[in-house]
Amino acid sequence: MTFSGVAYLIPLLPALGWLVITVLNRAIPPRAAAWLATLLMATAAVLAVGLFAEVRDAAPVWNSTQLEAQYGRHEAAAPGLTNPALERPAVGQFPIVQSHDWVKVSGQEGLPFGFYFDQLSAVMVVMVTIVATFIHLFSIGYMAGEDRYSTFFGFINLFAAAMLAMVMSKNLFQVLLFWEIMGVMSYLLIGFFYRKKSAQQAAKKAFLTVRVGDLAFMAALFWLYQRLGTLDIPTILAQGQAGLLATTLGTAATGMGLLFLLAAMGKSAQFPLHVWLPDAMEGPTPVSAMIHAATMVAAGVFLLARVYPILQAGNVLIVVAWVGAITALFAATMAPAMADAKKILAFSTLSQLGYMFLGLGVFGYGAALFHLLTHAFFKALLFLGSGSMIHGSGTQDIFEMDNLAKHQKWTVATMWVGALSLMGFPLFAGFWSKDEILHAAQGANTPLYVIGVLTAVLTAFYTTRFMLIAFYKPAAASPWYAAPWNRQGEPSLNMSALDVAADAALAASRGPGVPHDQPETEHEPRNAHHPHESGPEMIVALVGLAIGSLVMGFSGSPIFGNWFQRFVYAGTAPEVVPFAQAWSGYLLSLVIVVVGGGLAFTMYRGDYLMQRAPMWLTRVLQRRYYIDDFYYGVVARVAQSPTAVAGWFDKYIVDGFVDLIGGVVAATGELLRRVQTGSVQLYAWFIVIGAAVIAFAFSFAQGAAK
Amino acid sequence: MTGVLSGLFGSITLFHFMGLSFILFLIGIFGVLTRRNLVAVLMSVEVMLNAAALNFVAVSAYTDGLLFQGHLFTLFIIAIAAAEVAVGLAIFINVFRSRGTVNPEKLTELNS
Repeated sequence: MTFSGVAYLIPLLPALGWLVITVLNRAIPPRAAAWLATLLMATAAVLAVGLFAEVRDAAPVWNSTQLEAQYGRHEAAAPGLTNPALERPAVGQFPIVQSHDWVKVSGQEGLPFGFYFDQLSAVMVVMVTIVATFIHLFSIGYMAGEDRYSTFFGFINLFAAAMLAMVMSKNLFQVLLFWEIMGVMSYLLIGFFYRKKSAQQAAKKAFLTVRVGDLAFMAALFWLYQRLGTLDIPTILAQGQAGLLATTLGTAATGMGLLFLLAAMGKSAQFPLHVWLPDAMEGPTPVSAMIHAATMVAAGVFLLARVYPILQAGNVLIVVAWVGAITALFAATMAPAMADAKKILAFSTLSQLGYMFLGLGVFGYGAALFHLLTHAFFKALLFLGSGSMIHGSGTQDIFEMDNLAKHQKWTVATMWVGALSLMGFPLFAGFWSKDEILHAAQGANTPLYVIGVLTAVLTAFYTTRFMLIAFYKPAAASPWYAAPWNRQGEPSLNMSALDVAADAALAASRGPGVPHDQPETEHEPRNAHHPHESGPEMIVALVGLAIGSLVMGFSGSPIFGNWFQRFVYAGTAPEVVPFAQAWSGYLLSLVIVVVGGGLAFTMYRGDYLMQRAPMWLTRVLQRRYYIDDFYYGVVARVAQSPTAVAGWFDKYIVDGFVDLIGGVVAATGELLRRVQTGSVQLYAWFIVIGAAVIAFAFSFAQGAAK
Repeated sequence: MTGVLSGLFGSITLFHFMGLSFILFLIGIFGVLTRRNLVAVLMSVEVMLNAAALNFVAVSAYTDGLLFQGHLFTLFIIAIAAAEVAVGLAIFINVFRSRGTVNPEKLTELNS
């Protein structure tokens, strides 16, 4: 048995879990359903690791010293790199392709359906299954006592299945299919607490925003099919490697690339389609870890990595880089103004995804995917850790968390691993990957590099602030919720109610010193004054991800000869940063952490409740630069204006026509009803007259026939 | 005498029988449509039936000669008419018992 031979089981097992849990929802005990889902996911993870090993053994091996010598010359510029740098060519048939025909009509070509395993899909499969397994495990404890406990596990199982099937797809149409399933599942999971108005709104917002990108994705596929006649990934990649795409696609490559970029921007929540991700924190915390850190948002990056040759051919990469850089900086500026633990992490996710886009855009293909891998681990860890904090303290507000470090030893230890990784502290996972991206940016474009460094400083700043206030400070009334423009407990930033006037009136009526509205947290504040550590499943999951966050980074570090970048690369040859150039970056990383973290430490060590930034700035940041307000106030209104016309048309024209038919029938009936007098003799009259008419008609017809 | 008779016969054609039958039929219809008593209506129906019977006999006598098909039909009509009268009168008696009238103008309960 080869692992690639049974690779179809990797998405199939969790999908099966979903089916079983959905069909037998109440017939099996919730705990059993949860463990079933987790074990299926774990089995998929084992298969995925096996598959990864097979791909690794089959993939070509590059000579790292030769590659280092070639650093800075992109494959487009130096196509002659291929042969001398190769230590070992690909073994057997590589990449591994398995194709089937789906919906095959006799005599016609079926819809091609199959699996494609290259380095990218192998890495993604391993990352998704392992992270998802830990998230499943964590959810067993975290979701305990919630309504629809089994259903939740069914949902996340199917979600993981869709993601896995997507990264394994051989065909771009197939990618779209599973991409859409993920969209639906994210809608269901974000709106899991469907009784909460804000959760409903957030689910709708996420679905609709991502939809904008989906439309672009479809348009790109149609266009691509029209030009190439195929959506087959191996074919497209082969054309890209041979450098043919630029000629076959011509200028259309630019349009397609931009459409693919728009699709990825929706899914990966890049500016200006980022608005759904912070709101999506309405979902249960494991969902945030799953969808908004490790898997779904990674789908956008994955897509760009898949169609990388098209982006290259169309010269779209510089746009990708700028979108990423803007998002990275923009999101990082908002995170320090948030008080909700999950919101801080949400903005940090946006920012890190921006890094990945930046990396892809500056030819740092391997670096971006490396960051995708490490980020999946440490961000899932951070989200789950924040879930543990919320679970233990009964609040989501970092100011209200009471000295959590004292009460949650495991959580605080693992959270520090995640936080240091996010900040880019040396030797932690994020350090290696972020550094690679900054390197690539440095070589390509100075403004982008500066933005990347600034973002890194901000990241260190808000992460330190988060850790310091949540874990080491006593509980206090959160200064943020009281702000009149930021009643986060209510769906104020969702599309429903953005009524600034009402906010102001409310603030005036409240007066100073009056306790603010408590936000709705996922967990009832049990033991609000006695924070406690979370259960064993949750701890195990946290520790597992913490180990991942520590270990994964080394795969791409110079300690192991930049193995990851030599394994995952775009085009004909990898791009490996020689250590002689890398050490200054490592030093810079340390400086960034010290500056950003030190700044946060000095600011929040003493009076951590003090308002330091100017009020207007805090206001703008907490209002998220008024972009949500803009969408609600302008875009939504404009988009809805045709609905008034359509509504009128429906009410008066369509319904009017239907009513007309009904009215005619009713009026005819009313007329005919009068005939039914009940008088036998009148009926006899009708018979006689009828007979006479028929007789007359017949004789007339006979006369006419003669 | 025979001459007179034959002259009479000779002048009585199928048309005359049909004319008589037609007149009878119209009288029957008139009765059915206008009588205010169901018994009279039934009697009118009998008249109509007889008009039809007469038609059968006449046509049979003038056309098929010895086959007597029309005669046979007439016998059936007479028998069925007798049965019909029996059933009809029984119904009318019951109607009269429950409603107190056999005036068709008053029996309009199926009125919409």
